Parts: sequence; C-alpha cells; structure tokens
Amino acid sequence: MRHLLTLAALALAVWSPCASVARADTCWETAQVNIDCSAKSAAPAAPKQGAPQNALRDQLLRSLGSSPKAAGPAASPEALAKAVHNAQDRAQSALDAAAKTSDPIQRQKLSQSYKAAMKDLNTAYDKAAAAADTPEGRAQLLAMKQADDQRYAEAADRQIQPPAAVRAETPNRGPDNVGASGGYVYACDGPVDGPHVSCREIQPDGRSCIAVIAFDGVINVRDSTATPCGKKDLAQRDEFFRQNPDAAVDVKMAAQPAFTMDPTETEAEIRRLTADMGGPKQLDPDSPECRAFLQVFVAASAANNGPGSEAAYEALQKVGGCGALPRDQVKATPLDPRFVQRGDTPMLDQTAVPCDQNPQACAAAVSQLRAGTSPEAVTALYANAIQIGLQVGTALGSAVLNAQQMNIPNSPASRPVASNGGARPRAPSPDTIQYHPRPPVPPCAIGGKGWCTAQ
Amino acid sequence: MLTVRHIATAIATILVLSACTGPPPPTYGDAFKGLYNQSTASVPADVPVTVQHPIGIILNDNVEAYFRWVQASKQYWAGTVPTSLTNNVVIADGDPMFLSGRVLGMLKRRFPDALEVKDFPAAVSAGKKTIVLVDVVPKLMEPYGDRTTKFDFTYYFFDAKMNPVSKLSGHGEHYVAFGAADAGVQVAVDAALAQLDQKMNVLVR
Repeated sequence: MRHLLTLAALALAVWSPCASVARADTCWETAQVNIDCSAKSAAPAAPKQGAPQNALRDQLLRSLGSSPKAAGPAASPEALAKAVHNAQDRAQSALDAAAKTSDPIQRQKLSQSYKAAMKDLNTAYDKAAAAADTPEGRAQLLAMKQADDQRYAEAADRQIQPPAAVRAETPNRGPDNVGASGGYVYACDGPVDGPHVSCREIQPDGRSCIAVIAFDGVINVRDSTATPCGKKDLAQRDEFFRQNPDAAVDVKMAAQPAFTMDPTETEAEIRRLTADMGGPKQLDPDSPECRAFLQVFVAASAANNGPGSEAAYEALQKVGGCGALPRDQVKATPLDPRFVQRGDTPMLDQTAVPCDQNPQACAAAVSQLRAGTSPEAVTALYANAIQIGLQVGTALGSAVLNAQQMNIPNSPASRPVASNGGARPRAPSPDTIQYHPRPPVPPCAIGGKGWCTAQ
Repeated sequence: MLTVRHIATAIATILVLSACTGPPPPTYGDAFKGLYNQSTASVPADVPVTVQHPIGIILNDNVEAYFRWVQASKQYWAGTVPTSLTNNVVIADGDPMFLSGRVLGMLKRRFPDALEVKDFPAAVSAGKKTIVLVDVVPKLMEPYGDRTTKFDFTYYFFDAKMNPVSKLSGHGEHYVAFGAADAGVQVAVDAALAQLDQKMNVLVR
C-alpha cells in the first residue's frame, strides 16, 4: 500500500509540471484542430493571470460562502475565471485563424472549434452565474454571456462564414457587375453571378480590398492579403450606394467597430459582481474564521517564519484585525464616493440604538409614553395643578391671617404703635430694625382736652 | 396715539410670548444630506420595491435634528418652569423615544431581520442588501399661529448596489385645541406611519 502511494505521489509530481507547461503552450481543441496559442499564452497574457485569478478565487469563495471542497473544484473561483478566459481565447483563436485561411475544409474545422469554444464559454458563464450570491450578479453575468455570444457570432459571420454570394438575395439595382452581401461590396470584371468572374471585395470601411474569384455568384478563391482599393472600384461602390440605399446602410453598420471586452475587463467585472460590496469583510473577533487567522499568525510567529507572519498579519488586517490589531493598523475600507462618513448622532444613539438593540423594552417605553398622554394622565396633570394652586392659595391665606393676627393690641407679636396711630401696622423701617437708642423722654403732663404735652 | 404705557405693554407681550415658544425649531434639509451624495429629487416616488435581506435602517440627519430640538426645548422648559408644574403630558407626547420606537417597530414588524445602521459605509460593511432611509419633516403646533401639528415621513429604499430606487411618504396631522395638554405629536406620528404602512402593504415585497 505504501509503495502504491509513493508511486502515485511520484506520478503526480512528474505529471503536474508537465501538465502546466502543456496548458501554457498549447490549445487543445475539441475538433482536434491545431491552433497556435503560443502568442496568446506568452508574455502579455500569462503573467497577468496569476494574481488576479487568485483574488478572483478568494472573492468567489466569499460570495459562495463555502469552502473550496464544499463548492467542488469545478466551481472554484479560479476554475470559473480560467474557464471563461480559456474559452474566450479559444474562440478568438479560431476566428483569427479562420480569417487567415481560404481553405473551405480548414474553415469548416475552425468553425467546429469555434462552436466548441463557445459551448464551453457558455458553460463557464453559467457556472459563474450559479456561483454568484446575488440575483443581480447572476443576471449581469448572464448578460455578459449574451453579449459575448453576440460579439463572437458577429465576428464568426464575418471571419468564419464568408459571404457565400457576391450578390444579395434581393436583387440590387444598377450595373450587374457590382453587388453587396454581408457588409461587403463586390466590384467584378463581369456580372457578379457569372460563371467565372474576378472581383474585388471592398471591405466595409472602404480602405482595403481583397481579390476574390466567384463561380456563379459564389466565392471560391480569396486572396490572403488585402490591398488598397482602386479609385474605380470605390467610384463604382459609391454609385451602387446611391442606387441601393439599403445596401449602403448594411455596409455602414458592418463598418462600425464591434463591441469588444478585454478579458481583463471581464475578470474585473466578475470580481466586482461576485465580491462583497464595500471591500474587505470585517470578521467577528469571536468567529471561527478569526480564531483560525490568529492561530496561523501565532504559529508563524512562534516558528520565526517571517514571510508567513507577514502574510498572516496582512490577512488579519484585511479581515478587520479580529480584535487583535490596533484600529490604526486595520486596513480602511475604501469609501464609495456616493457615501458620506457620518458624524456624531448623540440623540439617535440615545433613542434609536437602544430601540434597535432591545425591541421589547422599546415597545414597553412606547406604551408608557402613550399612557403618558392618556386622558388619565391629563386629568392627573390638571389635578396636580389644582392641588398646587390650592396649596399656594392656602399659603397666601395663611399669610394674610398671620398678618392680621400681628395687628391685635397687646399681642406678644404686635409691635409698639404710636399713641396716636391707627390699627394699621407700620412697615419696618431701617430705624426700627437697627438699634438706635433714643434719649430718655421726659414725662408728660396732661393738658387741656386730654392731650399729653411734652415737657 | 401711542403712549409709553402702550409701548411697554407691547414689549412685555412680545417678551412673554417669546418666552412661551422656547428654542426655535431647526431647518430641515435634503433627506440625503450628510449621508449620500445625491439629491432626493431624482428618486422616483411610489415605485414597487422588492427588498433583499438583510435590511439596514438609517435614520437621517433630519431625525437627529428634530430630536436635538426636542431635547433643547425640554431643557429650556425645565429651566423656566418649576419642577412641580412641569407638563409631563407634553414631554411624554414629544419624547424622541416614541418616534424611534414607532418607526423601528413598524419596520421590524415587517422585516424582522432589519437592523439600524449608522450610515452607508457601515451598512455596506455589514453586508446589508437593502437600506431603508427614514426621513422626517415635523411641524409642531404654534401656540400663537397655526395650531396644527404635522409630520411627514418618507422612506427611501436603496437596492443592493446602494442606489435609491423608490420613496414612499406618509403624512399625519392633528389640530391642537386651546387648552390641550399636549401638542398632538403622537397622534400625528401614528397617522403618518399608518398611511405609510398602507403604502408599503401595496408596494413593498
């Protein structure tokens, strides 16, 4: 058993690098057509794919919400992105190769290759759409698939299936040596549907022409190179357009640049659609994921693994620090330009936040506040006011009564009054409040009419 | 002919009346102000909405401004009127907790997983797929003017891409009779939210 395992491991070790090399240098077509992909998989494309695909894989993993094992290797983000890219490359390679050959048999094989690539492309898009976690993301991936379908179909119509006839099904007006089909204008030396006629295929943009030979209106031989169009041919085309405006429109439409999407744009779009909005996810410090991040970081540090520690530290930063990193060391989420970072909201913090965190207590508080405006509460409010009014009235009445008592003669509380004064008490004056000893008053003598006259 | 007594009486009246009105109410701005760089004018009204979960609720700056004004008014009257004569009915009527509780309660009853979030960046990082932005424009009764208390609530619905897709509004008002103990805030709020709830029954899924 051990020997078998060793053999299997060796076979895998030998096979894996070979397989990767083979993937880098060849394109394996379903139709067994040999297409040179070295130009595509060489310098410009190959180095670009590693890191973005890793990032794409990570984001797809997050959007899938499952581990690679759970999702399965076929549904892994890397596989999804790679499948889309590979299928696009194969379809484009078939189209490019078809444009360069005039051999009908080779074209037929290339057409099969193209169809196989498109089938794989559709499958890859379907899998990516199934992996998207939002209906919008799924819909947009399917829209991208439809756009690719249309784009490649239009290119295939031009490059793989050249116009079968130099004259359209609808008879054209004007001289019989000029015809239009599939966006091309054919200026021939004889009738376009003649048994053997040489023609110039004027490209939709009118800048170049390709020599073709048609038999009974069907192109049989096409030159491999394009040359500048002659003035005579262009003049014939202009005259043809004047007499056939519909054909002019078709050619003009064909001259429009086809909608293209760079593979990197496709990848970016997939990344955008499948990524969590708002950038890095902030993990809960108590979550198992955070514990795993921390364990990796601690283990790498304990083992004096510098690069490992650095990678684990960056991973921690990306997930919000897991409560182990200071706030200033956590990578900030890039702010969407539409959003505004809100300032302090103390009143909402005092009211809405408690209500949000404890709905039952909030509902009870609302009930209490509702009871606070009930008729009973209003009655109590008025009763309180009346009671206070009564208390104030009682206090005032008491004060009045006390004041009257102060005016009773010989009362201990009464103040000395002037011998000729009335019952009204005199207001205290500074003289009476402060101590000012008066000189002794001489006794008086009763004079006439009973008046006391000072001596 | 105006006499000194007339002028003094007028001044005294103005002073008394101004003393009875308390702090001036705030000026309410665009519902997105301080939260989202766009005007609410372009948001379509009463468009059917299919929400995605989880849902976030944002109470905007107008709500905060109203609550601050209520707080300032409460402090003002507490410093003006003796404690024993405090009108507890009007305080209960205008308590911010009532408005918060009613709004959040209504939304949580419909969307049990809905949670209040501070702003859009917080909502995005929390993974919210729909945002309900709550705006309120209150107009409290004026003791010496229009005695009608009015509340206008507007819910702005944002989709998963945080684009506003629809707004639903509800209006409630209550005329406050002379001698009433409260300002009719709770009645007006209930009426506005009831209207809004009816709209949501039809337009929100």
